[in-house]
Amino acid sequence: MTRLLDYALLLGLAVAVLLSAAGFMPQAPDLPDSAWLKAGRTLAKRASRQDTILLNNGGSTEGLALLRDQELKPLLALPEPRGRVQKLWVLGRRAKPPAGLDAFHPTGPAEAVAPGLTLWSLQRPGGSTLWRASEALEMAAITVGKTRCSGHHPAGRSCPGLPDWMRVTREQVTISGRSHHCLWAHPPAQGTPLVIDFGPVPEGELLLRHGLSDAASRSGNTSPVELRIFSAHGERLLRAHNQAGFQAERLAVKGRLKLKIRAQKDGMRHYCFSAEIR
Amino acid sequence: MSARLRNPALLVFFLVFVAAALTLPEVGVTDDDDFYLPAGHSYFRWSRRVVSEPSAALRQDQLDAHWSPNREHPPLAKWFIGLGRYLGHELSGWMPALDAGRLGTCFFFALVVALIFALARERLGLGPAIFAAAAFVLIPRLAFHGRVATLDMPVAAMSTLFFFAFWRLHRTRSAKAILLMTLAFGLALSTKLNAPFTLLACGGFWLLESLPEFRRNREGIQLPDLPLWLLIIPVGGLLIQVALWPWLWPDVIGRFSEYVRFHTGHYPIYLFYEGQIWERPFAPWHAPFAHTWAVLPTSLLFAALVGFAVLLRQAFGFERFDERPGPDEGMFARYLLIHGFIAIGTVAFSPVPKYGGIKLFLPFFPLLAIAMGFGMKRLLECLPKKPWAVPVLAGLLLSGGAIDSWKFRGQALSSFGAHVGGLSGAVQRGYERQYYDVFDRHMARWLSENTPKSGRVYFEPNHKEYVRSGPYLKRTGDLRSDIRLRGGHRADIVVLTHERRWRTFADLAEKLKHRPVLYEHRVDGVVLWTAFGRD
Repeated sequence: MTRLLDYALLLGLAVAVLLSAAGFMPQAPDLPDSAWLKAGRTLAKRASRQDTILLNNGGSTEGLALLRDQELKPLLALPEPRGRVQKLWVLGRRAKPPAGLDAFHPTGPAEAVAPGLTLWSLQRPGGSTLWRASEALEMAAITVGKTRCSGHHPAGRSCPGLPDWMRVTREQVTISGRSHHCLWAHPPAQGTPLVIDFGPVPEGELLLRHGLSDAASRSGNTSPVELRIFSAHGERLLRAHNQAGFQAERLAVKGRLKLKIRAQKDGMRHYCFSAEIR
Repeated sequence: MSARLRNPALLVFFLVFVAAALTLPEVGVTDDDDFYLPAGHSYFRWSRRVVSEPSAALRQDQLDAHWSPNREHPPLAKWFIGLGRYLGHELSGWMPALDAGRLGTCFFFALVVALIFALARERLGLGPAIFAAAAFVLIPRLAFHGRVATLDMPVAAMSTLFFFAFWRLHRTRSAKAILLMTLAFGLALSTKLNAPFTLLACGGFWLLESLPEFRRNREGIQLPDLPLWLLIIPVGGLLIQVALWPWLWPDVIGRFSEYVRFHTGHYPIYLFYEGQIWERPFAPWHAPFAHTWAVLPTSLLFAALVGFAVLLRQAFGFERFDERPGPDEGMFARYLLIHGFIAIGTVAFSPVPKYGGIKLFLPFFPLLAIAMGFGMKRLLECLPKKPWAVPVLAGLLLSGGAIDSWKFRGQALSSFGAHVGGLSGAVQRGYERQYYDVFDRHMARWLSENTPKSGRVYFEPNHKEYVRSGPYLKRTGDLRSDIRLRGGHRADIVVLTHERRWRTFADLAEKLKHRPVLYEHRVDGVVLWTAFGRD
């Protein structure tokens, strides 16, 4: 038994040493341009302009310029937040897609589109979320009057120079006795709006949930929090009153998404919302 | 005394220190250097003043002035950084301030390697001890952390010192032993916040070893006698920390609370892992284990796996292995395994940000190196008992470390083992290809050669850190002094570092694609940064 284990260990040693030595071998040479051109032609026929193309070479930019020359738009990494990507093509020297694409499902088997190049077609499953406000918070332009809320906060963004409650942060808030994960967005004092500009968002149906915390609902302030939603589809006004719970609204949005949150009286307006586009 | 000076651990210390110091001019600048170097300079300047003008130096305004920089971290390592700067730059003029300050970290690097050697030699003999020490040096990321002015290698060294001191002394109930253990713990505590966990591991070890002493009788469960060190080490260690940290002196409770508060509410730092950006929620528990697995050179990983298997068998009494047969063989294995688990587990299982590859749990790696020594010892049993067996086996096992150290020279933080496919394989598996915003020397030299006179250079996605690092490289002569680090996308050269933990990376790469690519810096076939010229 011990002898057998000794042999197994020596075999393991040999494998480890050989593997280490193999790591020192020179990299495989670049593929000929013709391979990338052929793969590019195949991709150009299949992909639409809205599709996303990801280069999959394990960190190398080989082929990037050749694909761009063919009017394609290959990316080195997926844009964040990733909700805007729906149809994804993964092309490169690697036979398998890179890690981190769990949200996408392959629509068919991998295809060798040119010698040494593999193409995967992936799709975000139907009905899944395209965009979430909580994921896009760090990219949003947030302002209170002339103050830019660009301060760093562990859970989102703070507004330097303003009180601590004047922030937009991912929090758990109790509304109608239930705890909800949502974005804290207390309206500023004196009716000034809190403006959250998310920039361009994917076209789709915005599912917005919002409400005042139970503590706020019990307060003497009955002034509702007004939420104005602006997109290329127009403007919509929603109101959150005391005791109204965590209300849900659906509306179509496209283009730039901007929210304005305000209240006539700001005392104890612990307001919270969540927003996602499907 | 002369016998102590002949101790080979001292020779190991000297060799590692000299080798680390001589290679400093190749090590890039991290985004932490600019915190710790000025702080170290300020602390050491105060120390000199305390000798020349004690009453003035002890005034609160002077304490505040000299000790407020980087007050969120304890002072010991920075004191050494300041000392290194003074000796290597101010006093002798041997090297630029950047490299001289790093002599302080080299001291800790050499110390930890010497401790690994001493511990492994005691348990395993000379051959495996030399191997364990060399293995630690040849893990590229550790060699990097051992040569930059940060606190991670110092705390690894001081935690190992306490590990060593406790193991040697805790069964000796003399006052001298308790004092020495307390001193070692106090020094570790004065280095970085994660040092207390070493004591937690000691407590766990004591509890485990005391289990046979727990007895149930008519009066209930009878507990073993609590050892004196359990009280004296934490209290004494805390007193040493306060004594070594003049920033605390004017308001010990208030300022110590501020220090603890800073770390309990530490701001999140991004980590790219498994192809996703992690901030909040923090990266999953397995990230530290997966990083350890991925970054070790393959042959050393093999030695470590064999070593841990041996230690586990020994811990449970299935194997007797040490050079020094006796009842403490299994005890040492249990001691090391508990310490190892707590060193990495505190990062893995606590609700804390996980970032920076392996840097947050460096105290784990000296223990890993000792485990590698056990692995080598076991592998030696598979070979004929010939004089060539030790050097040949050590050479084979160290080959992976030597290859990776060469392959990733200058970019050690991008090193990954061949078993994950090197850097390219790691990128495919969704690991971050670089971090710590390292302004590497190669990048500085390339910019010096290719930037127009008085030209502007801008870095994406995280320019602000390079602005802090740049001046150091100007003073070392690696970066031309007329180059201006500013200009946004109107700069003459925009450098895009391929760091996927920044959400803006993909959009930036798209935005910059219309500019001509002047140079791509590739390591292991992977692009680490791209220099773009003007449209």
